[in-house]
Amino acid sequence: MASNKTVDIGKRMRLQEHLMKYFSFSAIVILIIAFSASQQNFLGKANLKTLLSDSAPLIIMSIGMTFILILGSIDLAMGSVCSVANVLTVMVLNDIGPSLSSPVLAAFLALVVSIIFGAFAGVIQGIIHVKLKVPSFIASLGFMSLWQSVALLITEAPVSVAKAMWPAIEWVKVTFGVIGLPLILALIGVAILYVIQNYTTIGRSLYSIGGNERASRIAGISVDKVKISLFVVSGICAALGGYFLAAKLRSSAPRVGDSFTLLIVAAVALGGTSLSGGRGGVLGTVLGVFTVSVIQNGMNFIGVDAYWQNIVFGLFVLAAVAISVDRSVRGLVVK
Amino acid sequence: MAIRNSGNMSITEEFAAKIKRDNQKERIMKLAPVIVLFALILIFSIVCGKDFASLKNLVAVLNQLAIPLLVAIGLTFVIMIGGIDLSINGTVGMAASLVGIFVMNNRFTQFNLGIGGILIGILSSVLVGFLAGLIHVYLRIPSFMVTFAFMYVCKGIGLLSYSGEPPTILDPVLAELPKKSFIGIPFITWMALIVLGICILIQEYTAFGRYIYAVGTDESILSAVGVSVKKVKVKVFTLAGLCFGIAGALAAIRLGQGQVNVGEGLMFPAQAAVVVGGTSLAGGKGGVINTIVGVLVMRVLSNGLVLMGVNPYIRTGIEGIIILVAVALTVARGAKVISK
Repeated sequence: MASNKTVDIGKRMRLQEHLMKYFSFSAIVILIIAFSASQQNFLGKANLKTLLSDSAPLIIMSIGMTFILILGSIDLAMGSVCSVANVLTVMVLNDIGPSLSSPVLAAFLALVVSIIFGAFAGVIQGIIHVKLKVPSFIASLGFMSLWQSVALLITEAPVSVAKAMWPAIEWVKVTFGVIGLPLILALIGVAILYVIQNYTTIGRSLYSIGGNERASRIAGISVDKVKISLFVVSGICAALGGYFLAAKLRSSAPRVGDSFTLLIVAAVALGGTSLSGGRGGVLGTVLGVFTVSVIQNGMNFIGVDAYWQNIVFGLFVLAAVAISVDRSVRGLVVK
Repeated sequence: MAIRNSGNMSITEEFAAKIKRDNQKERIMKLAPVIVLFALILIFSIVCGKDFASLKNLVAVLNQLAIPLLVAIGLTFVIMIGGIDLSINGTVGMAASLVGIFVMNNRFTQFNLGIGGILIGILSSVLVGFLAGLIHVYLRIPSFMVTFAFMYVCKGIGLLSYSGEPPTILDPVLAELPKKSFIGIPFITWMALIVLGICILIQEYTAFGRYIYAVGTDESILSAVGVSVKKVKVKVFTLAGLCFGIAGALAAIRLGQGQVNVGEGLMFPAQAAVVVGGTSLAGGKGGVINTIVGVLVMRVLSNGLVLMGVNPYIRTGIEGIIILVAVALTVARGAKVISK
């Protein structure tokens, strides 16, 4: 009898969890219906293509942030790591690219350089946060300023990718129907992180640390190592975002990441990942990113006045969070 | 150590010694921000000489102090309850824009309300703080998200209010105000100092001030003794809104123009200043007095780096490193400490 009851409660909790997921999904559906009602072509091929390909860099960066938020930490440096990777990519393409045998090789080299930089940024930030016990908010705030500086020192003003190197960034334009290659690559990234999240020790430790760090420590999880490796993941994701943006913009932009800093966090939170840690996941984040993209794209598409856009965006975000926020846990302290 | 001593020391003595050691450590930690501040002043005085250590430069630092100080004070209360306020750039900008519109100006001549215009600007920000608090508390949305959304809303309202061209303030009294000073300290800084004084009084000598600490430490205790945690939280966000509104009004007066951009770039330095001063992001620790030290550290740092002629791009980087160092010096460490 007693065990039956436990199963029932477990089932009910799982059902509630599923309902939460559908809620954030419902926010998107409502938005799409609203936008389509005011402009019929909103779901037309051309706009769908822009909407989907525009969200690729945000997806890549947000899935990295998801892990950090599940830990209960935050990473404000992702935007500026993205900027540095962006300028590094263009620098490699323009300065080293011509001496290599093919543009494809240059593109690959730029990718490797970005990833190494992202991993490096993640490692030092992780070490400072974990070993020196500096709260991640403030550690990443410090690194945000630092990397902003580095990006501007590498390239003061935006530089376009040299014409000879254009084949190296052509992949951005490859599309299959309405789905572009950047989105496919981003979704592959999602798949990889989903596997890490659900089927590896690090992934399971992640939830355990986010839920109760002290207990995880006592249970023998090497909390420090897990945290640092997850910061490496977020660093790499941020750098990949910068790489994608360089290819998309065909130029470097040393301040390109600044606007992403808080947007990433908002997208992840909209996707149902709790800011206090322990709950959420990368699949929800994909939904969250699409919510943000649909709002931004929709406002442009139906022609919301530029002065009104900020207000409407803010109100939409507020409404979307109000719908999707998790209220299932009674007595949970919301900070 | 403890084991070796246990032979010739009773448990009570050992415990007392441990407490004493911990207290001593804590006291040193508390002084760390002040030490950082004096170290910076010393370094810049040696490197820049007369340029830095002069009365003229002191006035310059005080002049730039007002708005970051006000913003950081408001934020301190929010951080003390364990929340966060990202709306600063928006609310300050909105307050400044509305002040610009509702006093005598070159674009909207029909709305000249004089001092009433300034009040409208400040009240708009108070209202936003109040709303943000209500939504945060009653809809149970994290303060991070609520204030993030309000940042956009307020920026939008500010931009919309003057649609394009920011109004220039023509009111003779307000136009003269930035140049006025009293015993060498600019008038605008005086206003900030008055607000600072009031906030210290609120924090130290009112029940509300004590509740703020209690909410940050453990909400359940406070609700167990019958204090409405929700009300305290809404009040804190409203108070923060008031501080941001005053900052916006003063910024508009100082610039002589009401525009949204005065709020730009205030938020992250303010967060850094609050934490560098020793207020814990987890809530319950620190206070307005800590924040003064934090803001001074940030202002002295950027002033000194400008005087040294450091490239502005490198300047942000150095500021980032100093934030890391200052906080690394002040945070509590040890095997049991959990940092998020």
